[in-house]
Formats: sequence, C-alpha cells, structure tokens
Amino acid sequence: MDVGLPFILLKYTAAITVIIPLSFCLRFFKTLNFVLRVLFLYLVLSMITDAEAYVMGLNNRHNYFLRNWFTMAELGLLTLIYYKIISGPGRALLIGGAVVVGLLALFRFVYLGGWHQADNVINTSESWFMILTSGLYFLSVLRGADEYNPAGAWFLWLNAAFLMYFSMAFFLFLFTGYLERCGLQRYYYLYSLHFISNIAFNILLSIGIWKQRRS
Amino acid sequence: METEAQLSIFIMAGVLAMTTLALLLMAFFATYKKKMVQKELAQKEREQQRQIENFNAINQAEEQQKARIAANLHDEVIPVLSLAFRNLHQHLSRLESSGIELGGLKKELQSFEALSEHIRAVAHDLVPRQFITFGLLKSLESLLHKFNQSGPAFAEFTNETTFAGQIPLNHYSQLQVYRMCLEILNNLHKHARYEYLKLSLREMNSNMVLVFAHNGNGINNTEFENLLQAGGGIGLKSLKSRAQMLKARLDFATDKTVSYITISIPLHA
Repeated sequence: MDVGLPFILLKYTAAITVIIPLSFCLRFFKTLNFVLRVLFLYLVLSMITDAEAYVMGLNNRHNYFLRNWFTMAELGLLTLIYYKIISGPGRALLIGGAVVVGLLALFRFVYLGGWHQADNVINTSESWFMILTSGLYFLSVLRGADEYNPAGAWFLWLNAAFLMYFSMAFFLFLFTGYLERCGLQRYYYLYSLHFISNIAFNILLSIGIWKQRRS
Repeated sequence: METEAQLSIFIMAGVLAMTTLALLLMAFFATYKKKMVQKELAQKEREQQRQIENFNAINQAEEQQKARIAANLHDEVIPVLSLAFRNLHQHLSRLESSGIELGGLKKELQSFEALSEHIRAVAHDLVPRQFITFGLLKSLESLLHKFNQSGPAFAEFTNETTFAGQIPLNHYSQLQVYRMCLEILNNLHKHARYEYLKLSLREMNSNMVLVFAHNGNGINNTEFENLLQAGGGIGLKSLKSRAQMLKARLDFATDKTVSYITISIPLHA
C-alpha cells in the first residue's frame, strides 16, 4: 500500500497546524504573560528550523547544524518556561536536569564536534527530561493548589502538550539512525506518528494560549 | 528484513506505549485532582454549615435570653419604677401644697420618669413587641412610620405578594428578617441621607424578596465586603450572619440616582 500521499498530507497538516498557536500568540500578544511570550519565541524558532529543513531537503541537503542548535535553544526555552511555573524544591530538580542534559549536549556537540551530525542522544535525553518535567509539574499541582479548575488552568494544556509530544517523540528520537536508513515505506509509517504528535501538540498549545487569554 | 520489520514494530509499539502512558497520566491527574477538589469543597461546605448551626444556636439562645430579660424588665422592674414614680409624685405634690419649695426635687423626679421610659424602650428593643403582636408585615410598616416621624425623609412599604399576613417562613426566620430590615433601615437612616425610600416585598422564583430602593448614598457589593473586612461594626456582621443562616442572598447595587439593597430569602428554607 502506498503511504506516500497520506504521509505528505499529514506532513503539510502538521506544518499548517503550527499556524494556529502562532496566530493566537500574535493576536493576543499584548495580553500574553511571560511564559507564553517565551513559548511564542520557541514556536517561531521551531518554524524557522522546519522551514530551513524543508528548503535544504529540496536540495538534498541536511540541516543538522541548525537542528542541533534548535535542540539547545529548545532545552533553554522550555527550562525557562517551567522555571517560571514550578516553585519550591521542584525548581532545583528542574535546573539539575537541564544542567545535566546541557552538559551532555555541550560534550556531544562541542567536544566531540557533533554539530553537523545527526543526533539522537541529546534529543532522546531531552525527551526524557521533558517527560519528567511534565510529570513534575503535575505532581506540584497535585500537592500545591487548593483550587483547581481544569477549564481555567491554561498551563495544564501546555503541560499536556509537552508530555504528549515528547512521549511520542522519545522512541522516534531514540531510533533516528534507523529511520534514516530504513526503507521509504517504513519511514513513512513511523514518521507519520511524529506528524500526528505535532498536530496534537499544536492543538493543545492553542487551547492553552486561548485559555490564558481568558484568565 | 525480518529484523528491520521487528524493529519497526518495536518502535511503533514503543511510541504507542509512551503515548498511552502519557494519556493515562493525564487522565489520572484530572480525576485525582477533581476528587481532591470535590473533597475540599465538601469540607468547606461542612465547615460553613457548622458555623451557621453555631450561629443559629447562639442566636436562639440570645433571643431567649433577650426575651427573659425583656420579660423581667417588663414584669418586675418597670411596674416597680412606675409605682415608685407615682408615689414620689404624690408625696411631692403634698409637700408642695404645704408650701415647701421643691425646685431641685422636681427635676430629679423628671429624671426618674425619663429613666423609667428608657428602661421601657430597652425592653421593647430587646423583644420587638410590634413584631410579636402584629407579625412581620405590620411591624415593617410601623417601623417605616416611626422613621418618617423622625425627619423630613419619607419611606413607604408595599406588599406585592399574595401573602397577606401568612408569610411562608417560620416565626424564627421571620424574626431574623425583621432584625435584618431593622439593621438596614437604621444604617440607611444614619448614613444614606435619602429623601425617599421604598421597601417592597415580592415573591420571585420561590424566593421572598425585600427590596430597599432609595435616592440616597448607596454602596455596592464590593464596598459592603470592604466594610465588613475593615471591621465595619457588629451590625453588618450580624446582617451577613443572619443572611447565611436563612440561606438568603444580600445584594447591594447603585445606579446614578437610585440605590438598591435586596434580600432574597428562599421560601421553605
């Protein structure tokens, strides 16, 4: 069965859905809090990286350098977001985790000169870090807040988005090398999961941004 | 090839497993937190109910105490004072007719008479006689009539219900409503500087609604809460406590020229 067309449709749908949270951010920019402004920056960088990858792909070239830089930026920005949200002892865990992944990344990219190479170690480590951070946030809410209104707790949607995305992406990042050498059909099947996670990620982010606007 | 196929299946299974775990975690979180919040809300409600019951018990004991004191004053102190006053008056009259100058003593007699009247007023304040004798509606009318006599401002009462004296609230609840109205009217008389006040009694959606509409200085709900927080007198606190006890709603609103105070009491509460 030819999965090329559905794969391409999913790919473009995932690319288009990123417009929704971006447009919400632009529309409500003046009322966005600090966390969402950082998220907006993250989304812009993500879009630039994906666009560059697309252009490079048309010329049969890879953009590992930009992708690896984006990984570092993603780590920094998401850590900043959670730093603003999580309070108490959880912050120390957050910073500790970010430092560990950051040092690992520096070792991989700087010491081993891996800027221009495909990477799955740092991506996988980052995925684990984000999964644990999302869990940490849920735990801090369970322990902390006296009042909880799912409809009004906008960051819960963002947290769900990060948890969903990085959970789905974890295995894909772990086997990046295999994905690059496996047959096209298999690649389509497996990478379409990543597009589905992108679509879910963008929708959940959009809901969170919308809820914050109203809170 | 087989290994590659197995690896692909493994990756797909891994992704689905991680996604399922993530969804389960979110579902667990949502359910657990909701249960915790419901538990906390139920506890707050129980605490509030306990406070209302406590206030109710204290209030009932207070009313009984007031009734006893009023009865003692009325049955024992006032008659004795009245008799003593009459006797003194007679003695003083005899002395005056004998030609003895009684200037200072007459003044003391007047003070004595005033004391007797004050004690009578205290007894009436403790237990509102009008309310006991004529019921809530008549006593509210009578109250407004008294306020009208104390100044140029005019107040009137209108009954827009079909109750006609048979208000579907028990005697104790009606007494609380009377005391709330008394507190509100006293405050309006002191602070609002109205020229016209209309107190309406209505029945809306199984609630008995009392509306105080006046053209004086009014406050809104936020200002009322601020006054309460600032330790704004026993009267306001007792107003809020009585409202809670009756499960009634107090609303304060102001317009450009008219201010409203609304008490909505659920019937059969």
